Formats: sequence, structure tokens, C-alpha cells
Amino acid sequence: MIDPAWVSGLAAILFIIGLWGAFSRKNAIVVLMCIELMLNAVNLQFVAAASHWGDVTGWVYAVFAIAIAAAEVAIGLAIFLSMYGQHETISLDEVNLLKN
Amino acid sequence: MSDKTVEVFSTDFWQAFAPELVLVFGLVLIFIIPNLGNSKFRIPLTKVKVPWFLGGRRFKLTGSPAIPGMLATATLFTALGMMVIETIDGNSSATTVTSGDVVLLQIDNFSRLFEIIFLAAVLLASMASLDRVPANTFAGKKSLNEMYDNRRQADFYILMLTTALGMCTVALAQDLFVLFVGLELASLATYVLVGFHKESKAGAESGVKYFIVGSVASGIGLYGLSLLYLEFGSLQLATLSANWENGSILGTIALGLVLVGFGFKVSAAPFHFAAPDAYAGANSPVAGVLATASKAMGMIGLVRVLLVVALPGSESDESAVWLYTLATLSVVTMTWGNLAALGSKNPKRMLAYSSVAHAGYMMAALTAVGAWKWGEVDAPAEYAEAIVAAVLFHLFVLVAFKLGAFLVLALLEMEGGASRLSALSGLAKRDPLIGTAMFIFMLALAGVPPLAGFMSKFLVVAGIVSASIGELSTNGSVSFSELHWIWWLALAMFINSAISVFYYLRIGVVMFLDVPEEGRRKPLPYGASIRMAIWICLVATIILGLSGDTLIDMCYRAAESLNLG
Repeated sequence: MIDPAWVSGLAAILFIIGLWGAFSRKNAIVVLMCIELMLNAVNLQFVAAASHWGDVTGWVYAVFAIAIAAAEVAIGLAIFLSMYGQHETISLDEVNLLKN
Repeated sequence: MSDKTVEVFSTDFWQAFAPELVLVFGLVLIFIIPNLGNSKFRIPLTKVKVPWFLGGRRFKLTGSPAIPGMLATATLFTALGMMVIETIDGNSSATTVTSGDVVLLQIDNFSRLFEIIFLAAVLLASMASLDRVPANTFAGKKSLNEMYDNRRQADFYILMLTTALGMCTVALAQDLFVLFVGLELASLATYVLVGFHKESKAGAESGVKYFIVGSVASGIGLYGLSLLYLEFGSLQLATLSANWENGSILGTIALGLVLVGFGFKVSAAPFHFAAPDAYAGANSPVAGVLATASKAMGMIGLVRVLLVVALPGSESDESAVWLYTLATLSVVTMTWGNLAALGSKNPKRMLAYSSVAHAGYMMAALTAVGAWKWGEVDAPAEYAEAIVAAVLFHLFVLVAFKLGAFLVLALLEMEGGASRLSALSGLAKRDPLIGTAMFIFMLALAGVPPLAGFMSKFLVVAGIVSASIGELSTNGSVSFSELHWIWWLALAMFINSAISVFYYLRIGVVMFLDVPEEGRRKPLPYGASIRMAIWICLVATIILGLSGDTLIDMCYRAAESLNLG
């Protein structure tokens, strides 16, 4: 069996990639994918911690986190679609009407 | 006080959660009632048709677009009334909900007070939305009636009730993960509410911005939770606070990540950038809910994580790092919010920045409690409770005057947008009552006595100052150098309040002295229920400032049930 520490390490790397991507990318869909990457890192971490502690709660947390992530994608895509309908672009740096 | 423990889904459980059940029931009703129709269901393989009232041609009575709003308002009113009756006399006992040996939820004075704040804010907002269309008639593409008749009425109120339900979960949660699930439920609903104006460019844009920043923040918070779980093997508040001292540096890092998630909700300094955009694009009642209820929800997170989990018994140096960070952030938040509000030409953005500043004041108060907890200040426990009670009082009265100000803007939005300061010009001449109400809200926000805003700011500042003096005052004279450094936070609040008076009064000047702009000379649109919501806010602002004793007692009881000492 893989040592949970390796899984946590992978989770940390995934999380940092996701965070970096969410801040640096301009395409809304790619940003959404990066957010998903972060949430998947959370799942991995929960599962790793659960097997580290031998505690079922961690797996339950992971299942809930998956459900949250699914809801977030559904809402995110709907919001992006409505943005595309108005601005005809999903590039985040071209959408900047709101100012002081 | 007779505390009791109930198993989840037992009979006592349903009894204890009657107000929340009312919310769920109302939510289901709003799903079903607009869809009632004359459809029939054919039993497969036969020709027998049984009436199946969902779908088909909708009944005229239940299909009316006004129904969802009324249902939502009635539901919220019932739930709020049940909670107020339960809490106001002060002998409500704590009920803990467990599943096995896991503590999930707890009903006590603290959670009930916050639920009252949430439900009051959402109730006022949904009342105000009753006779104004949640969808704007931008560019005149559709008539007001068309927009009003569309099916999105039901969606709007479903989302409102979902927000309220998620916030209630946050208030009740005794497990950090349950808290986060509630936070997500409320946030996901608010993302859609912010982007609800999908006919306008501003609405779509603000929805996207709020969604992206919000979900990145909650992703970071969730990762922090998973690290906490890795460190301690449980996310129970009780377990976490008991084991906190034995934690390593990982626990401190995890705490920081969790605080990012909540910091976004209260719109604290580095994470406040999305707030003004979101408020500007959302319709005003929704923006009001974001500025009051959503902020209170983030504050619960901060209180639970900082005061309940991270503080007890921690006198180590790593914890002190958080104290200094929090103090710095609170000063940066209030100053940044106020300076940005000074330069803002859009009343909605101005209110958004002012709510950033208010977040800073509340964080300063939390820092003072933290300093007391870390044993840096020599003061009895009542001082800390007084500060927490002041924060709760502040969150409560914010619903009265901040939401009230947003509702006045909502009234202006009914005649086409309130995104420029000039939209307010001459308001006092066009409608003296509404103009005066707006002026009183502004005075309350600035903290002018005898309004509720003065009372709340006074309590917070007095709490911080008395905590910084602490036991020293019993010796007779206090020398300046003996004061704890949290005294400077009170000073920063004073200076910031002085700055904020400028932009609050600017609105008053514009309303009373300027000439109404072209096309806005007619009287304001009528809107009976929105005006009623404004009057409720106005009366609450004045009454709670003059005699808020009942509410202050409630806040004290809530602070006591946190068991800080």
C-alpha cells in the first residue's frame, strides 16, 4: 500500500498547480478546471488522511467534497454561459466594465 | 438551562429544528406550487390515466407570478417569528445534535441570534423584491410585465431560501466540515443571485467575478480543512480545540488557509476585490443580503475558528503571529475600505467599500478578544464577552441600516439603475420621506448618536478600550505606556469613522442640495412592500439606537453561550 504521505504530497502539488492556474489563466473554462484541480487535491488529502488515521469520516468528507465540486461546476458553467451570451467572450481580461 | 443531547432524525430533533423545517417546507412548496397544472399520468401499458397535478397547463390561481414571492416571505416570516419567540425570553436551552459520538449541530443562544440575523436580512430582501422585478428591463428589450411574468420569479425565491438555509447551517454547525457545507450551500446560491441579471452585461460580469473569486477562496478554505483533518484526525470543534496545543506548524498553516475562505466572506482586506463588483452588478436587495447576512456568516466562521478552536490554552508564540496578522489586516481593511469609498462615484460600490470598512472594525474587535485570550491582557472574562456581544450587536443593527440603504437604492433601480451618484440627486425633494430615511441610514452608518450605528460602534470601541486597560484601571491612575497595543486599534477605528463621515454625508448633500438629473424629475415609483421594508429598517435603526436593551441582553447571552472563559 502506498504511504499516505506520498498521497498528501501529490495533493499539495495538485493544489499549488490549481491555485497558480486559477490566478494566472485568463480563459474562464481553464480557471474552472483549475478550481476543480484544487478541489480534487482536497479529496486526495481527505482520503490520505483517512487512511492515515484509519477513520471513515475522511472518506465521507471526500464524498461530500465531490458533491460540492459537482454543484460548483454546474453553477460555474451556467454563469459562464450567461457571460458568453452578453459579452461573446469567455476571456476574463476582456470583461471589465465594472469600475469606479 | 437544561441542556440536552438528541440523536439526529429523532423526534426531539424534529421538534428542536422546527424553524429550519419550516424553511425546507417553504422551499419545497415554491418548487411545487408554480408547477401545479392539469396534467395526467398514464399508467404504463394501460390506457388508464390518473390526474397528476404537476405540469401540463398551469392553473391560473397557483401559476400567478406573485405566488413564489409571497410564499417565500411568509415562510421566512414564520421561521423568524418562531426563532424570536424561542430566543427573546432568554431561557432557551442548548440542544446538541449528535450522530453516534460525532457532534453535528448545536442550537444555543449564539446560533439562534445569528439565524435571526440571517432570516431578518433575507426576509427584508425578499419583501423588497415582491413588487420590483428581480430581473431588470435593461435596454428596453422586454416590458416590465413580461419580465415579471416569467418563470424566473420562482427561481429567485428558491435561491433566496436556499441561501437562508445554508446560512442557518453555518450558524448551527459544530463540525468544521458541516460548517463548510453550509457555507457552500449559501455561497452557491448567492453566486447565481449575483449573476441573476443575465440580460445585462454588468450582471453577467459581476456573477462571473464573484463566482471565480468565491470558489477559489472556498477551495483554499477546503484545502485548509483537509490539512486540519490530516493534523488532528477530526474536524469536530471540541476535539480541535482540545488538541490544538499539541499541533505542529501544519495546524497553523491550515488555520491560515481556512481563514482565507472566511476572509472572503467577510470581505477582509486582501480578498475584498470581488465585493464591489458583485454588489454593483447584483440587484440591490441581493447586494444588501451580501453586505449583511453573508458577512455575518463569514464572521461566524472567524469566531468559531479563532475564538473557539485556536485560542483556548494557546500561549505559544505561533499563536501570537496570528494575533499580529489579524490586527494588521483589520487596520488595513478598514482604512482601505474607507479610502476606496471616498473615491467611489457609484453609490452601490460606495456601500460595498463601507461594508469592507465595517468588516475591519469587527476584525479589530476579534483581535481584542484574541489578545485577552492569549493572556496578554489582564482582564476578567466579562470584558471579552462584552466585545463579542458588541460585535453581534453590530452585525444585527447592520441589517437595519445597511440593508435599508440598499433598499432605497432598490427603489431607485425600479426607475432604471442606481449606479451613479447623480441618480440620488434631489431625492429629498422628489420624495422627502425616502430621502430622509436614506439620510438617517447614512448617519447611522457613520455612527452618529442616537442611532443604532452609534450604539454598536460605541460598544465595540468601549470594549476594545476597556480590554486594553484591563485590570490596570483598578489601581487608580493608568499611564499611557502601560496600555496594551490593542488600544491603537480603537484609535484606528476613531480615525476611520471620521474619514467615513465624509462620504456618507456626501450622499446627504447630493440628495438635499443637488438638482434631479434629466429624466428623473417625476415622483419615485410606488412599490408598497419595498417601502414597508424600508420603514421597518428605519424604525429598527432608531429604536435599537435609543433602547436596544433587549437586543443587547440577547447578544450578551449569545456571547456567554460561546463559553469563552
